[in-house]
Amino acid sequence: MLSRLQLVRNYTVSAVDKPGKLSTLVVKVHAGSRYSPKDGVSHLLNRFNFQTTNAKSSLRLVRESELLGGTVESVVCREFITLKATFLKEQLPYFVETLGNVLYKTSFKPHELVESVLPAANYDLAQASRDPIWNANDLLFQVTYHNDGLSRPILYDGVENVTLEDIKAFANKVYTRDNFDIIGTGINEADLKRFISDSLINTLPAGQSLKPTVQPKASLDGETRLRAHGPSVAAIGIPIADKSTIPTYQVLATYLNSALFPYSVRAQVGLFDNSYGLFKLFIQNDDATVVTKEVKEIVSKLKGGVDISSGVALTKLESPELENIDKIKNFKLDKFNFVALGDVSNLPFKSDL
Amino acid sequence: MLRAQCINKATRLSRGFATQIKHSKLNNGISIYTNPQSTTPNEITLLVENAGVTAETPYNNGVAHFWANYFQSDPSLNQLANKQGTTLSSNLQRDYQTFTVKGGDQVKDSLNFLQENILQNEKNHVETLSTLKDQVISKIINQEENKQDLAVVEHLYSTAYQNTPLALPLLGTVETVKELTRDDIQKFAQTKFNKTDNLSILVSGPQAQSHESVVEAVNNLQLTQNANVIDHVQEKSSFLGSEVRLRDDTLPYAWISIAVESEAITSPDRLTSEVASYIFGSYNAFEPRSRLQGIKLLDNLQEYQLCDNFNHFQLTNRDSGLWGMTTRTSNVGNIDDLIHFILKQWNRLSISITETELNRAKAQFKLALANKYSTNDNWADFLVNYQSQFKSLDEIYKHIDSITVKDLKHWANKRLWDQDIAIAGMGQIEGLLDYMRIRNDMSMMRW
Repeated sequence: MLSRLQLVRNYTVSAVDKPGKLSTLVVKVHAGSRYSPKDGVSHLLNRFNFQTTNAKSSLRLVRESELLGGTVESVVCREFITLKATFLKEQLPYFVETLGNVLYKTSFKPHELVESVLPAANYDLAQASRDPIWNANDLLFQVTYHNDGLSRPILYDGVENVTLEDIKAFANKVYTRDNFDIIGTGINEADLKRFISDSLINTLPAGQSLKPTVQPKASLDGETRLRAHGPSVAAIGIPIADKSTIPTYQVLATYLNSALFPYSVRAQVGLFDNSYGLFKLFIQNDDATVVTKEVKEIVSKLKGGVDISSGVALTKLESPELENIDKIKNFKLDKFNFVALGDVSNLPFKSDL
Repeated sequence: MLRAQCINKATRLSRGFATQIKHSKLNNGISIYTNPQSTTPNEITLLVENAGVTAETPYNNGVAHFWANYFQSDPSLNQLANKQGTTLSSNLQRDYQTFTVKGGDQVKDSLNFLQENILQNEKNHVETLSTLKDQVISKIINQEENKQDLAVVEHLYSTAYQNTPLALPLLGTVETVKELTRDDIQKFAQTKFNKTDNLSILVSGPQAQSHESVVEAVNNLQLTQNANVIDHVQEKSSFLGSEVRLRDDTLPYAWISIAVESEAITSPDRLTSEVASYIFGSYNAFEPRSRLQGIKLLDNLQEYQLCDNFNHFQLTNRDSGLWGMTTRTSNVGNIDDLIHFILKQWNRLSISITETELNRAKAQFKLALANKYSTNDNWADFLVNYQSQFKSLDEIYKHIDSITVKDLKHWANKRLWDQDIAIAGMGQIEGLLDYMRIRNDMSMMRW
């Protein structure tokens, strides 16, 4: 049973009840790196979530939730900070209260920034930047969205100086009741509604949704290169501005990732607001000359036009929510953005493709 | 010769994994489970018990992995499947192997696909044999060189069960896979996959609405056991306290795994053992919330920064189980302290474990079970691991609730206190003390 309802306040609550023992409660806040006033503020706020709040210390939160059978986590991406609690069904009231505490007021203790938040943020960066595809993806966004929040890196890297005041100010701006949605699974919707209306979530100040009403300008035909240790990556990015072309890119991505396409590549469709985004194609290998050979072959193949209709059936399995994809047939590559990362002396320029 | 012509009349309705699961057993030994769910795509899993790594020999070790890899990575096979809108996956474990076809409109088609490509594979793999073998070998090398946290558990198995079936590494070894011939590969399928007693077919999705039609579709496959193939008799695995060390000072860390022998799948104490592993749980020094967990062991380890992470486990197999932990440390000069403190905490299970620690472990274990079995992905795993004793998660939860501190101490006195251990170490393990020094920490002179 799925229902979407507008409560008195402006956030939406949706819940799907399921049999089984497990519930998840997710709060998606429009507070990702694109909304960050400085690079990394969003990431640091994300790491401050579930630290000490006005109501509870972080120690008490961890000890209570593990005893009740639940875990909490917070992750950041370009669009959202996502707070997620996973717990045994009967513990719903506790975790609604917990998420309410976090949204309402984290204490932002100065020592927690130094002792917990910064080391954890540095750890996130160290883990993520070991993946060359993560790095290539960041570069692709830089090339595509000039002068827009989307070009900011997701993770804090210390290039811009961020203070505790910056994080507090950002928290006050994003944790308002117009700027997030609550999604529950394995939860009775009426219960969820009741508990939320009794919680601090209901007393959050009004603000305004940060979600932009117009899509950012995407540039095309750009390229960038970065020398780096480790495997080499060539990445191709195509901005998707027209909503009606999204299904085509979904089918294309499925086709390229599947066994139907003879190269081993990783294709992704990154969407914002389900209406625009970036199609990304990554080719990775330890040997840069292999990357060069494959990216040349793949680009010339795609430029000549490929029949992707064989990927339609598989797309239906992986994204059943897509409609009207049966007629999708051909894809022809036109202009794109290009990133070379790794052993760049042996990687091609865009003009070579 | 057995023929699958009539269905065992005693089709029973069991409240299993989810509430609407139906189960029946054909006369030829095949079990059929259906779980109707209209919200998920059709999914057909072929579960082959006694066809995992323990069914291999030291000479064909890796052949089960070859089949798993063939099913999910062979280009032409996957092209065929993807074109029809289906995806293929395989899960290889020590005692069993699964082959899953996800998607597709008809159960019949997926069953035929499984029959053609797994159960009665008559294809000649000669052309692709060497490519597939290279893929398998590169996966083996990748695990050994880049995924030491997994590899160290493989080495733990190899020393703990040396010279018995559970010792064989899950992925195989480079040497044995290189030597595999087409005959070895076909013979494994003929002796293991073709044994109808070993087979279960799990169907979920809209097509599972009609249990009877699924049963009929399986019946129509006319699967028969090949009576002419002689299979080797599988010996029982047994535990031996021992150690294996793969020292490599060029690596940045030390990976160490230590375990005692514990419960097998059918053991009545298995849940107690699993709860015991959650008392110590797992830890990651880089996650602030992980550092705040209510695990007494962390007091010692964090004060001296003795390890980067640890994970306690109860690994359950048909013949035997392992209870212990895996840890990684960059503080390679203090490995002796690290191991000492961990084992001293293990001692506490026999002596001074508290009610609160037990309750915390129970809640964590329940959450982990709920997480693992809330989707269809691990349905086969549930059947193999728990179905012999518990019909549903409810029953498991009830049993977990009934475990007391006394039960825990009783279990620890039997399995842990002053018992032989198996040790595996990789990386910079110069500081890992000799076997007897560590073994002596399994008990203490004071109470």
